[in-house]
Amino acid sequence: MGKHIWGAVMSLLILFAGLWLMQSPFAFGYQTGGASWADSTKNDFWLGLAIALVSLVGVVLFTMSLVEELRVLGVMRRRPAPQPAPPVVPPPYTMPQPTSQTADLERVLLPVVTALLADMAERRGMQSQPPSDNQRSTPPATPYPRSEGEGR
Amino acid sequence: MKRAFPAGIVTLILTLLCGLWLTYAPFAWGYQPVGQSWTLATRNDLVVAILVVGLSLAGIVGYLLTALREGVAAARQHRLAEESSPGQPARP
Repeated sequence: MGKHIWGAVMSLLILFAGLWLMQSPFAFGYQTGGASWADSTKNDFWLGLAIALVSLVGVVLFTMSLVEELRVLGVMRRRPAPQPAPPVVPPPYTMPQPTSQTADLERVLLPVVTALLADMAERRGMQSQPPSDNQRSTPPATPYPRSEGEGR
Repeated sequence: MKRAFPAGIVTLILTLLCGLWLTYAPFAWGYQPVGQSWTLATRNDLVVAILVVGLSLAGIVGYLLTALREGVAAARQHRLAEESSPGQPARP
């Protein structure tokens, strides 16, 4: 485990050295801002960039090795692979069981509903019978639309 | 499967080579004339090169020494475990 930490720390220090090498021509002033780059600037910048990138890869690799070794030792747990979510199946519909409140409500509403059904049945029976003479002479209860000349 | 030669060491070897090139670059590019006093760029390159080479060497040697020490410690622990319970196979 210590060897990975050692390698990562050394790579990190080399990364800083590479970054310094990239900007040292401008920091020391032997490369002015507007002028085209001198040979020394080109060498320092591109070599510094290469050193920084390689050492960055080194830091990543040493860190990955460290994590892997910690997992082997059991210090860290491997993250479980994400499982696909099971399809959501709606539960089958079941009739709601009557609770005490619904039972009370049914007890109250039952006579009302029974009376309404009886009333509807009675009206249907009256409509199916032929109308009597008294009923024929009386106008219909619902007003019918008046014509234009009517009521003047 | 455990790698015998870790990839991180390869990056340290590459930076070591870059550092070695950096010591030679002022003369190869010609921005340091031979026989004259060193310019600021040359001095900076050499200091950084020594730093990079030193750190790379320290990284490689330190890694190998630490790995060797850990290997010896693991082998010693393995042997002690075998001696304490000769009938059962010890865990590697």
